[in-house]
Amino acid sequence: MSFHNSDEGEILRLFESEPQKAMSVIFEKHYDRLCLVAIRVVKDGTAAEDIVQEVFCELWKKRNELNITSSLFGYLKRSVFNKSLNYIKKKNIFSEEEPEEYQTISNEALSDEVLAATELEKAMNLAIDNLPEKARIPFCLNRYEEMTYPEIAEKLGVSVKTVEYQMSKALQILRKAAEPFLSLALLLSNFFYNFF
Amino acid sequence: MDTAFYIELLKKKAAGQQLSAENSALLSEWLASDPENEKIAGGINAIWKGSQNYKEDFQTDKTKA
Repeated sequence: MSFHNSDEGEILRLFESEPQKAMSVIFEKHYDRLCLVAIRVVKDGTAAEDIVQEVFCELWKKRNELNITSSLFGYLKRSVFNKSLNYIKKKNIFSEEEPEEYQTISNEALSDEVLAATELEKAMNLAIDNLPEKARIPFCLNRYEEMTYPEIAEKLGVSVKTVEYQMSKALQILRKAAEPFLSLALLLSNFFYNFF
Repeated sequence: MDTAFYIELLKKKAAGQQLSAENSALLSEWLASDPENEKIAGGINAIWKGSQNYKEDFQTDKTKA
C-alpha cells in the first residue's frame, strides 16, 4: 500500500487496525504543512515544531476517542492554529506599550538585502519577519488564514480598532519594503485588471 | 465606501478570489477615479503576491519529533 496516496478515510481506518502505522502516515503527510501554519503565527521555528509535536502527541493519546467528521488535516490545522494563538497570547504581545513610531527597515539595509535577493518575494519575507509582532500576527492571520479583522480581534482578545491600526501599520511598512518593485507590481496589476 | 473597503477587495483579488460582479465594477470605478488608487492597488498587489510563500522555505527537523 502506498501510504502517501492514501486518502483520509483509509488513514482513519488504518488508525483502528494499525494505529502506529497510521500515525506515521499522518506525520509524514502533514507534519511540514502543519509546521508552516504554526511558524507563520509564532515565527520561531523551534516553537512551531514543538506545537505541532504536541498536537501529534494529543492525537495519539486521543486516538481511541477520535471523531473526525470533516478533514483530518483540517482538524489538525485547527489544533495547531489554536495552540499557536495560545502561545502568542502567553507572550502578552498586545499588552506591551505601543512604541511611538514603528521602526522600519532602513532603505539601505533593505537595499543590501535586495541587492542580494533582487526579488520581491525575498524583500517581502524579510519585511514580514521584521514587522513588530503586534503587526505581524494580525497580518499573517489576515493573509494566510483569511480571517476578518473582527475574527482576528476575537482570537487575539483585542479590539477591532487595534487590529485595524496594526494592519494599517503592517501594510504601510510592507508597502515601503515593496516600493522598489511597485512599478512592476503596477504593471502586473494593470494587466491583472485589464484582462481578468 | 471608504478606502478600507477597496483594500479588502484588492486583497481578495490578489489572493485569487472571485469578486462579485457588483464589487468588481465598484473596484474598477474606484481604480479609475484617482491615480493614487492605482498606487494603492499596486502596493497591495505587491504585498500579497510577494508574501505568498512566506516561511515556506522553513526546514523542519523530523528526526527531533
